[in-house]
Amino acid sequence: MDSTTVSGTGDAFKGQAVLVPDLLQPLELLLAELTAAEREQAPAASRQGRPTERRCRQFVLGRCAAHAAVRRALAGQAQPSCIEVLTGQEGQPVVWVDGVAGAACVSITHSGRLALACAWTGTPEGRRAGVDLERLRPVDVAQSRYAFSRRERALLARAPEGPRLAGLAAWTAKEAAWKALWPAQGADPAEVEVWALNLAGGQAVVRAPRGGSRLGVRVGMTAGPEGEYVFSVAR
Amino acid sequence: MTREEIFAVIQANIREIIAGTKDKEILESHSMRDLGADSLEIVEVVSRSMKQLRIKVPRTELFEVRDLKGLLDVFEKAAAKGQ
Repeated sequence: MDSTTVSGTGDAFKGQAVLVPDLLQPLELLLAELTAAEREQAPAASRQGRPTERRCRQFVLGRCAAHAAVRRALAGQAQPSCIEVLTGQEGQPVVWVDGVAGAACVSITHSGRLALACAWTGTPEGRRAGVDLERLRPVDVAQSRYAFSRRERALLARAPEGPRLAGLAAWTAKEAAWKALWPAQGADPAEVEVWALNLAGGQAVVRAPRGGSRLGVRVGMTAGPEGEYVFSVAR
Repeated sequence: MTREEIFAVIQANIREIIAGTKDKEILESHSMRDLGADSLEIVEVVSRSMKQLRIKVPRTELFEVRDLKGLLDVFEKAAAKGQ
């Protein structure tokens, strides 16, 4: 298991990030890492080679990353066997420690064969955090009208790193901010707009919906089983 | 353009973009998440399909789509408007 640490913004808002690659071990071994309640929530993967198996593997890897991130965030204050990360009513991951929810918050993402989770304690009331990860691949998302507003497309067209990398990075920034704003992010993800992107400096700024506040997003690169990945952490 | 023709375009793009779906049955009842897609792969399938079908759909309508049947409904409506 590979791991990295993410620092917060200087206040008590510290996060722990953990990356878990898919080493193609048998699915049963991965599932054994989860609690019974977590296994019940895993997407069914009854037949080898079905598309659902990929989804199930990603889910399990994400939960494994979340467990490790929560353990680090709690700094030994909880026995690993007492930690559960269950899916909440709105689809959000909820951390349970000894049967009590809310000791930490966690955000989970995966792309290809890599999962990333970040866990935080001491998050101010009503404030969350979000992460997103994408494998670097030749996609032309930067000019997609579905993914980005006109203003964002203009910003990405000018990015010194080129529209491909900038497009992927901006997408992760947007997704991470979307998760961080939950449950007040509004109905339309298009309203979460990337306002500035500085890949060299590892930063992006995302504007919340309806002229709301601006979120700082950390943008970085990491290596994984299928090459390089770009990730964002919004807080 | 018939619903079957629109679905054929979507299916072809899913098979090309979402790993592990090349030889799989893709039904209207599936969602792209069920098929193992991440958020960006969904964007790629939708964007490429709209381009090939020469249709434009407001983003707000697309974000309400939950499965391939919903996507087909939206695309079919947009294609009918363009005729």
